[in-house]
Amino acid sequence: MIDLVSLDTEVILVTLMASIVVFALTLVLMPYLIRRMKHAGVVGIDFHKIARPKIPEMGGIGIVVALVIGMIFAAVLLPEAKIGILSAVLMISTSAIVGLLDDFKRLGAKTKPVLTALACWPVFLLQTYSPFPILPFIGRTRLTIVYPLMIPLGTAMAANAVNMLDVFNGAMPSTCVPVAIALLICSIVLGSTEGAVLSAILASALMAYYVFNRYPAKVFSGDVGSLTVGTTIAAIAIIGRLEVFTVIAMIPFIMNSFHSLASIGRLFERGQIRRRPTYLAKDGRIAPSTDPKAPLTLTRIVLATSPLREDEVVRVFLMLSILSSIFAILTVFLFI
Amino acid sequence: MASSKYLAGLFAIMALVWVTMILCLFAVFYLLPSTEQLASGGIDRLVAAIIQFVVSGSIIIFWLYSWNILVKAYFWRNLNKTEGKAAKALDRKQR
Repeated sequence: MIDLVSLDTEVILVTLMASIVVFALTLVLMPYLIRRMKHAGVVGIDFHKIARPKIPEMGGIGIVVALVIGMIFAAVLLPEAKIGILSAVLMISTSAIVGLLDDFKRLGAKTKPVLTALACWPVFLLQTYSPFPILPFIGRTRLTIVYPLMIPLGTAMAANAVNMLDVFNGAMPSTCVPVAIALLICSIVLGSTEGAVLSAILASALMAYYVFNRYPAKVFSGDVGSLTVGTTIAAIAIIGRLEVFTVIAMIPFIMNSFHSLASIGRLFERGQIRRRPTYLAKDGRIAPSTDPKAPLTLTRIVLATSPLREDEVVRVFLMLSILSSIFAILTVFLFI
Repeated sequence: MASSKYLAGLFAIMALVWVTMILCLFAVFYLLPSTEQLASGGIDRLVAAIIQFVVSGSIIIFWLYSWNILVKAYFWRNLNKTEGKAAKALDRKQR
């Protein structure tokens, strides 16, 4: 059994302050970014609307800036956690560069996972990982050989899984906020300072971003946003020592990526798929493809009983994400 | 909005995945060879470590395969029902 350690008041106060800073910063940055992107012509087509409006892209830059500033703020006030938080900042920055590259010049289906896997370099350089993950029934284990090999794999999987589910207005923030809140609760229960600070900051940045990204979206996050958010979740898992809980909270993301990849049989980019998993019906609802060779995405699974509006699909995603987050919290209380 | 019955089915799949994932993790990590075992050498220990890797890998593959089959079966069963309903509705309209 693992001893449950509660966080001290100083950590809780700093976490709260950093979250407020990040929330306010994201709210302030987003309208500015939307104007700039619209002016520069950095726009993307919203394919799930009949009118196909052009929406400013790369709003994820705002999330990256807010996350980095919030984390540096927390690191300054919490010297005991500064190395861990600094690792997360470096991971996020690396992933943001990969995301920017992908937004400007489409990276290949194999290049993107490889580059996102490399974003984990700071945890090796600063030695902020611990090869003793907590597992259900077993408790703390010793995985000195397997664990370092799993870090790049886990980072790439988390980043690309979030990226693959960011297909509808508000889908990315509404599915990632429950995950971040679940990880915050797990961190508080297990006494992980880094985990608590990083997950609270992520949750507040995404809550503020949701205001602009919810249906009908005023901005898209771009790969810079979705890859960074996924990498932040991976950083919380590795640095905060919450590996198993993160995997459980991310079941809907894993479900989406795994079944898509299993049905296609290889790594792919959205633009490369000839057989689309869904299509926009004439009444504006999204319907599933009946083609047996189309990828089996989470959207297609959700739409199997009836076509839904875009906001309804996102609501189902949110419910699935809340459920998996509850499972992650239950795992801490029931099996650890 | 998707029917609550359908969502209950999806939630049940998620719950099943959660429980089996925990059991699978327990089995895999319980079986994974320790560092000492790999480092201490000796043919018998090495063979034991290889068997453990193979068994834990097989557990993961079996779990992923079962999950994939379950979701596929669930999807096509529901899709066929929906298509059936749509065909009936179209049939009524044409009559």
